[in-house]
Amino acid sequence: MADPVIRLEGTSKSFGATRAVEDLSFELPRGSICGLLGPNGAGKTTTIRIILDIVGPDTGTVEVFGGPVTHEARSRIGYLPEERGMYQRMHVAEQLAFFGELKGMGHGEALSEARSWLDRLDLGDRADDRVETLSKGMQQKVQFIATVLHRPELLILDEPFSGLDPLNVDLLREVVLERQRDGATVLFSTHMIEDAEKICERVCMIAGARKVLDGPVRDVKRESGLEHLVIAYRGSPEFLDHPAVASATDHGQWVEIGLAAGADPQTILRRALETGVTIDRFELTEPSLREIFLERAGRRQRANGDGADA
Amino acid sequence: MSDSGPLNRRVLTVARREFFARVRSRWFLFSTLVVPLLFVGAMILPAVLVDRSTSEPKPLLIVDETEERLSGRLIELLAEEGVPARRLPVRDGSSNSTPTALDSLRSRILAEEGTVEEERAAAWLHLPPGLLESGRATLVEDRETGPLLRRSVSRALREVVTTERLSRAGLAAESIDAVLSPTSVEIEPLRVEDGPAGLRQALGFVFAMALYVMFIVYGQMIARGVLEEKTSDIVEILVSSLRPWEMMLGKILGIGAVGLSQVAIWATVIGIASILGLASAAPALAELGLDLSQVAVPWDLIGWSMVFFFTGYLLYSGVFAAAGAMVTSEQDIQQVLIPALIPIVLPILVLPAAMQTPDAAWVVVMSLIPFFSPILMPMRVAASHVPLWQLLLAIALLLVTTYLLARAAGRIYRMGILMKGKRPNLPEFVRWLRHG
Repeated sequence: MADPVIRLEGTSKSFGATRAVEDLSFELPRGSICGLLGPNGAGKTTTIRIILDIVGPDTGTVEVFGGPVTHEARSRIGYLPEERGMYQRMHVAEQLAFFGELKGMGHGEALSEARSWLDRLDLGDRADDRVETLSKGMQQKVQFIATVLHRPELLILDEPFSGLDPLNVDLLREVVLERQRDGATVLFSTHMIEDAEKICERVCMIAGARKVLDGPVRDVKRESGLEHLVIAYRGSPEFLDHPAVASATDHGQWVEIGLAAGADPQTILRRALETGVTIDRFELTEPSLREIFLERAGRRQRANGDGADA
Repeated sequence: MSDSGPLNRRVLTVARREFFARVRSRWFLFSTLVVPLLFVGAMILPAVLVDRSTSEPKPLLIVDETEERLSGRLIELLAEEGVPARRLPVRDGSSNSTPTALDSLRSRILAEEGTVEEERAAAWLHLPPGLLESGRATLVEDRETGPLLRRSVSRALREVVTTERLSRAGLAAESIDAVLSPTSVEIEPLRVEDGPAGLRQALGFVFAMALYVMFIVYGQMIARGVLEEKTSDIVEILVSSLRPWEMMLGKILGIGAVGLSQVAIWATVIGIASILGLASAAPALAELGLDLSQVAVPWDLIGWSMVFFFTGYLLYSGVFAAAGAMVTSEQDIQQVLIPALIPIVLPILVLPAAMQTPDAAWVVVMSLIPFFSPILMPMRVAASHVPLWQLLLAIALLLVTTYLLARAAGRIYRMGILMKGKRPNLPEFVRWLRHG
């Protein structure tokens, strides 16, 4: 992989007896948009903090833009932390200008950029209000502006969409994709795997401090070797108790079924009809990231012999 | 603007934010206005109170049983001293000078207790018969009258009795005046430029107290500012943009600038008030033998106080920044502030004793120790003549300590700012210092 924007190699970090990240290696090519996926407590935030040199790794190499994280590198990164924080008593535009200046922008430039971003995200009329008067969702949008204000080449977003309504999620997603089209590289973490599936071209999945898999979404799905069957039905679910069904996830309107190795899906359809179930949809498909993740994380946990939930 | 030096762009950006965030706050407006008002009030209030008390002073009531009626001349002399006095009519049967005469005066006063007459007396002076020979009179006090009245009364009485005795001895009136013409002792400082010693000492005390208050106020402001960034999670964004030491330095400089602006405003207001106040009080002060034209502005004291303010502020601010970084909640902050305050409070505790003996060995030693010197040295400069080498040594020690402490504080700060939840225990803390 030529010229990766982020490169981790054999990175580990412990806090006391707790292993937060263990032997993590991955590369992020320039211009890509990558989801850092995993359940709560998997080590996503620690990984991000290591990339930003907020905490130093115990072992391993971290490179950003092909070298260590210098001042120069920091000013090219935009970071949205999971714990949002702003000076509550400062005015919105001034606060944004302050963050922009810390990244090397001039005061006037930062202020005018801040105002145009506020206009774009429907906050133009609140530019001169104190942050504390804004709702939580508004504050989150202001925080997001602080991340993109200085036109960073690398965006690192920790749970960027959590707590936002669908309208604002779409608004921010549009901005993120636009920044990527303009050449920025994006790494964002989320525990909502369905979110990531919509916009990511790459994923890196971690669970229990270790990497489960990473790579382009297409490859991940192909290489998973899993074939999935989606069935929408009316009737009793007892036909799912079948040797060809390795796993079944009830999504509510349909079930997603992981097939056992070498199993013929037609045997399941036959069995369903035999038990008097009405089939509305029967589709052989590639697995969702969620299924791949559950399958892989589960396999690892079984291998490790600990039964923590994934 | 350099991008890597200690005063780089990011440090100045943080300093500017800290400065404006505080200067625009209600707290700044309030404290900047209230302190000069309190000061002006403190200057005006005594004058107002004195005015009211002198407008209707209680008279001294004199019971005169002397054959010569000495009270007449005594009342005149007391009036010159500003002590109003009146003669009480002598009652029948009290014209023999026995201890009972005093007793009868006592019982008479007590009998009149609560009446208008009793209420309005400052004290009662009993002039017994044969005063010229015995020279003994009695001042009866209900409440203590203070040394001023006692001294005025005894001085006036001495003059009346001496005049009368000399006159009896056959001396002419002019000769008596010549003999009794007043003498006085003038008080002069050794070094004319110093002005009156008492004023300088008082100023030294005021400066030491002012430094103490400012170190505490601005130190706590730093600690709470650091804690605010931690509790509101701003620190996470800040550390992704700048180094911990840049955050710490910016904060210290910004809050220091707030302190300086505040002091500058206070100094201007208080200076103007003092000049106006002193000018109006000049005639009264002149009567007390204080010539204002002799009072030189103690530039050396002001200059050294500024030097010790800067260096002391830098030293203490590092301590407070580290203290703020060590805790995670408002409840915990008192626990770390108290140890941080001890080195500031200690010199204030010894200040009164140290002022009496500013060159005693223990005072000299204490005034050289970095944590105490910012408060004790300005006091010594005021109260004594401190050799230059001691001043320079104190500053050198301060700067070295500040440098070492700032490094340690920077490490604690770096480790502490991202810490949440539990406060570090001692072993963890030592680990921070060594590896931070």
